[in-house]
Amino acid sequence: MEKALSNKKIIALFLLPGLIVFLVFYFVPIVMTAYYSLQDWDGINPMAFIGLDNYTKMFTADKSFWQAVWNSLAFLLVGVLIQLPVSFGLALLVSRRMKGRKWFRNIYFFPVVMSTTMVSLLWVKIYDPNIGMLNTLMETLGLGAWTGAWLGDTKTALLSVLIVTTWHYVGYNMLILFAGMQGIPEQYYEAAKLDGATGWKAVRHITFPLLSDVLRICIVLNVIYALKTFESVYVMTNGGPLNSTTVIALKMFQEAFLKQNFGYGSALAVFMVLECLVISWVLNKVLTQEKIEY
Amino acid sequence: MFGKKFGVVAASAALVSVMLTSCGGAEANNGGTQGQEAAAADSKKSVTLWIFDADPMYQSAAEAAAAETGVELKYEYIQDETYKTKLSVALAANELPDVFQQHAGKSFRTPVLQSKTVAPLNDTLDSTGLGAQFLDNQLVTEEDGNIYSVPSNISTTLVLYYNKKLISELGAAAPATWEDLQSLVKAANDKGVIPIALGGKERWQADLLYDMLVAREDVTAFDKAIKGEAKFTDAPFVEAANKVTTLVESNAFQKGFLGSAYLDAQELFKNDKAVMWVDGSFNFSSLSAAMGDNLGYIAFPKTGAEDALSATIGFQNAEAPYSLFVNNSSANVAEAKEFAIRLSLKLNDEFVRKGLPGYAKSEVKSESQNAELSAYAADISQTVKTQAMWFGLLSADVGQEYRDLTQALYGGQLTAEEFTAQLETLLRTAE
Repeated sequence: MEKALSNKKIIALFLLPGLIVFLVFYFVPIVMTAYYSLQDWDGINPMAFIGLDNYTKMFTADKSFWQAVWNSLAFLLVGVLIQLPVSFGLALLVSRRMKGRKWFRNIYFFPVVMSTTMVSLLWVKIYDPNIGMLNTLMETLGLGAWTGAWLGDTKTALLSVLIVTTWHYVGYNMLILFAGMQGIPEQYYEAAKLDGATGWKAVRHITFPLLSDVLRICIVLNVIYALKTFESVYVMTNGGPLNSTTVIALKMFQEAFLKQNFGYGSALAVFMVLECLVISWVLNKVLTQEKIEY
Repeated sequence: MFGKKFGVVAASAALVSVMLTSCGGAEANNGGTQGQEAAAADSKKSVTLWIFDADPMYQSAAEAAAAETGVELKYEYIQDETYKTKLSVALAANELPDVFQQHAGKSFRTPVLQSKTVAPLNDTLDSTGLGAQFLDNQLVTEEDGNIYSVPSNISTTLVLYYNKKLISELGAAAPATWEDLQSLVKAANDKGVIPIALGGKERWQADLLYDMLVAREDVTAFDKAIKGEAKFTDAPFVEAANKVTTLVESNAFQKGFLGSAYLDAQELFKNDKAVMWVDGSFNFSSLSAAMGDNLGYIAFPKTGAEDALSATIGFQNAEAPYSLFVNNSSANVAEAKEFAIRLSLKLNDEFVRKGLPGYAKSEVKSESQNAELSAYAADISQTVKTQAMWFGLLSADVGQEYRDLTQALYGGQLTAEEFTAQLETLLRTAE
């Protein structure tokens, strides 16, 4: 067996089925989508080649496109700048040797195991301004003046969805970071303690540096997830009201399957793929650093 | 360059794989396995049916039609909004079930016909003699002389439902005029009750209300404007838009109605939290079942120059009714055709039984119904004109843009004049 696995041709043969599956189900559809993005096509009738017209329309004539880009960026920024620090904080807390830490860890992770659709439907009910729990709770606490229409108001809809996605996925990042923290040898902290580095100093000089690889993975995953956001927005607001929560993935779906602008929907899909690739590449470049060892 | 079917499937996979995992639900697509299943079945051939109408009578009628046709039925109910997505993907990928229901309106019907995936029914209508049972002009003959569909619903229209208990508690009556409606809105708000529940998230309920308000100003306004004999910036359109603005500003709809889903808004009405509900007559059964004698009905009030029975908004038109289509790639296409026709006739019997005007001859006798449904049947027989909902007359892309535009009006982003100016630009492209 070992002899066979040292033969490069045999290794290539073993890899071939996976490569074929990848090409057929991932690479070919992407290439075809790029091809369709150059067509005027409703998905049914013969297509007509229109060059870059769909892209011109996207960047110059489609008012809701830039709104969708901004909203996708809002998901990205919240994912990286709020969700990740909160996850880090929770991971620090549950990694401490304290009573009930397993219980806390499970509680924080619990939303992750729920489907996005289920979570979104749950929060739709919580946010409901007429029968929802949130407004009722606020009124009970004497905060009646702060109640709102949450998902039905252009001023609060995006923020409301962002809160839900943060709540939903904070446990996911927490678990990854927690696992990373468990891999940091305890003697580093003990040695640091002797030097007077405790609390925040220990986090800054030991946890952060030794967790940098894990943090980078979390950032890239958060960015990709943010740019691909669809389900939560589709279920909670359907992009409304007045496009205030539209994201690229949702817009792509609406164009292709509701408006039957399959060509334009494909152009949006290509934009999304390129956006994910470029941002991920930049992040990898920016965040790559030499491995730290103590 | 690429094979069309492979191309569509591949591109659909790329577009949908990211996001549709939640939308497909648990319903399996049986298209690909039909051949194997047919081979496995020794005696009965199977027919898969997709239905979006939640009324249980569809399933019982389908079971009866399957028994008559001698086929095994695979009945799949798919929630309405999900259905629209699922069907358009299945249509593009040529993965349709044997028989499927389609919504009324050009924007839904045209893609089905253009896809060349549906079978003409003429031969079966003639050979079985069942075609003669349909009333005149109820089977749509397309330009090529073929009939591709049979009706799956009667001509349902927009009505105003009200909650009798709440209206009684307000010491009011069902509104007959614009002034009555405004007074009722004020009275309800004063008592802390929602005047009108409206599902603004999907947008269609709001655009139908606007269609109705225009029809109440002038029943010919839309027809003239779409033909280019008048403009969408004319007085009826502006006045109706102003009335929408007035309703929004007077808090006629529940808080956050732009974010409320249709079914959530309906729950507010069913559960005594909203006085009125603007919806299709197709919901009489389900609302009656939920609210019993508490459900009230009126034709939409006289909010403009036209009388209440001068016109109503219909969910279909003669050229694009609610229909059943048969997949021409079905392994059991002959059986599927006969099944679809028999199902259409069974459904007709159910409508007649309810006291509603059917689309085919029926030996079923009308059973006594609740007073509200009888009142509706009487009103609809006297209604002079049924204006097809505008969305159903527009292509899919223009229709969706129209819905976006009406949402902007309801959301206060546009004044009546701005709205109608944009309406004129948008719908002029639809000519």
